Amino acid sequence: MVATGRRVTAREEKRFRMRNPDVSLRDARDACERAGADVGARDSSVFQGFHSRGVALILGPIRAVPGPVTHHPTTPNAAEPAFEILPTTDVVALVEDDATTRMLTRAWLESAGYTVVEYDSERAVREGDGLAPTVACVDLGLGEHSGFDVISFLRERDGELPIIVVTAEREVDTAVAAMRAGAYDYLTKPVDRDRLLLSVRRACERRRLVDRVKNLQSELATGPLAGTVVGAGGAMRELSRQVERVIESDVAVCLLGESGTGKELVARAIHRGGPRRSGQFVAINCAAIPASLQESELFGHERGAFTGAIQTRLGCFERARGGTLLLDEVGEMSPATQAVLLRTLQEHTVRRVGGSQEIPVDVRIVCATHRDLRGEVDAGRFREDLYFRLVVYPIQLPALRDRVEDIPALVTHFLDKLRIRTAHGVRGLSAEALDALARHAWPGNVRELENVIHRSVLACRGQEIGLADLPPDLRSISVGPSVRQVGDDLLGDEDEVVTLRELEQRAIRKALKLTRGSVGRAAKLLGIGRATLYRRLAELDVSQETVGRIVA
Amino acid sequence: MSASWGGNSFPPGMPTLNQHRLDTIERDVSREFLIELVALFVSDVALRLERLSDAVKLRETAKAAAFAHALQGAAASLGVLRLRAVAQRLEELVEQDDWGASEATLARLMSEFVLVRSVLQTVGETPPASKQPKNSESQGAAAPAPSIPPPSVRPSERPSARPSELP
Repeated sequence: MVATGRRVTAREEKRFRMRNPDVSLRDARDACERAGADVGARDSSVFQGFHSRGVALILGPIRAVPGPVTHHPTTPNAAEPAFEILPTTDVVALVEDDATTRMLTRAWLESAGYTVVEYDSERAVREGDGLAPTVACVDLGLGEHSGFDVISFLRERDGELPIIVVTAEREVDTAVAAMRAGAYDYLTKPVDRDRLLLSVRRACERRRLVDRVKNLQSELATGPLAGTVVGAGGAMRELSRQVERVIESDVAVCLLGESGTGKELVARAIHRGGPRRSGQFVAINCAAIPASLQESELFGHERGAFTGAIQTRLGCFERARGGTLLLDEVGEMSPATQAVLLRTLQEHTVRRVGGSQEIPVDVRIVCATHRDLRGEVDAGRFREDLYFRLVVYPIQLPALRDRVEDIPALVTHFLDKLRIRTAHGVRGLSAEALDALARHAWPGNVRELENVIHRSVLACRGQEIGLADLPPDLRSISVGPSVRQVGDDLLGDEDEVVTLRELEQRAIRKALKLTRGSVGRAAKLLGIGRATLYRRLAELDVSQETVGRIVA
Repeated sequence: MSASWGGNSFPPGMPTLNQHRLDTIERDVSREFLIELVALFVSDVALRLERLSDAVKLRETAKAAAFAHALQGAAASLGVLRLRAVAQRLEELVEQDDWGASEATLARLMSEFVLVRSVLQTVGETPPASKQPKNSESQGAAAPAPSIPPPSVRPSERPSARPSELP
């Protein structure tokens, strides 16, 4: 929030509407008036805030508060404020050796919704916990050390960090030198609150813009097809249709699929294509984080919450506010964290470890797992109530063996990608090599294929990867079975009568076994479509686990 | 703000406190916060003054200048105008290695701190700022008369005194 005497621009009004879609302008205006604010004539005067002395511009998100609120940082004397300013996701690193100035600056920044991490010396900055701030405020007169050293250090760590320098009035020349060294803005002591908040807000906006541009550049550079997935076969078209159905809504999506099938890429596509695209996409792999640290990673912690928590740290939920959070391998989440996650999803608030404040979060949740989550619930390892919260719309990602038609496109993609990195001269694969790839079961899916292509490129001495260049286990794959072979084994002894249902089951089991679990190729052997086979598997109550056992 | 004033007196009309700044802090954050901030300021400045005194006694230019500079920052944040001005003057004298004048100014800084501390003690006792009439740059309603030692040279007698000419 920034105090201002000017009228709000149309752009600011638009931003307010975007950030507060559930708050009507009339309600907000009424609340301002009840709080004794100086409200102007236009509807946009809703931005004019709670200061009785003048006007204030509310640019951050606000939230309706039911009933009177007695304590509020910006309206201590207001009788009935109806809105409170929500904390932003922006973190300000405050480097100031004077305790009085530090305490005052911190209070001002926190009242505007910023999270403040403070350091009292150059040494404290260097020994900090590596938290990446959105913006830094650095006092140039840091005791016996120069604030320039701090600026250099912060710049080395994060070249895009906007740094606001604070200096004594008579050191304006020094401030100019700091600007030349890359500082974003400078303020003179005594620092004016409104000037400080305005500068910090602008710096945060600049930072977000820079990050956004970098994200877009990164997305464009790392993947074809708008940076999502490669392949145009039937399975991928079906996947694309399913993603389209959920992309515009906030429905909780659960991505199911084996490791390496591209669950994170699809989650990114959901984020990028939806209304939250301007927010951050944050991914956390629950399997990669020890159970004891999962809560801290997800929900953040306060300084001093536990041994080693020397600074306040934002969790994934807070960092993803306004955006999308991918809970990858959610089946690996500890029971304790599951309980806290459930509460967070119900209340739409988080409480940092060691903290007492409920912080509102507005995040779209996408989860992913390679496990049979329903089976985990049945086994008592995953909470059923959480399951129903997370798995509103499950999307099954096809394994690579079920979309062998996409292998040539994937191979081309990986060869192009490797060409940039290794400058190799390989142009493609021989027909035999491609055939061998199509017959492989690909338990590691696309990730495994990329690995195989990389190895083959290194082994290849010509312009085309031959069968001999492939890893040995792929070279030895024999030609697949015939339909007759499958059928002969099913009838059993001459005096045995098999029901048609049993016969069908046997045929399917046999086909799956011979194709090492490839539903696509099993369907071909059986002379039916893949969708039909999936439907028959469901009707015959054959789960993915059962298929796994058949293959084994 | 450059300390162009001479002798041992303060610039004409300079109040002890910038009451407007204290009121603003109270309104922007809270009354309880202001009381806490004042308590921190008093204890912090007392500590810094001790260190500053030691540095001046030992003629440690860099340390003394740094402590005087830090005092200015704290005083500026809270709007303690005269303390800030004296600290700034002391920093200039120390940087010039004018230790005689530095010691005299240090004594003035100490007595100014005693005055400021007594004025600031009233912050928690007065009614909330929002109920008081606004009066920026006031001297502090309950401020006692400054008990500053009489200047050895009156500013009116040496209006254009330069720092190098001071004791």
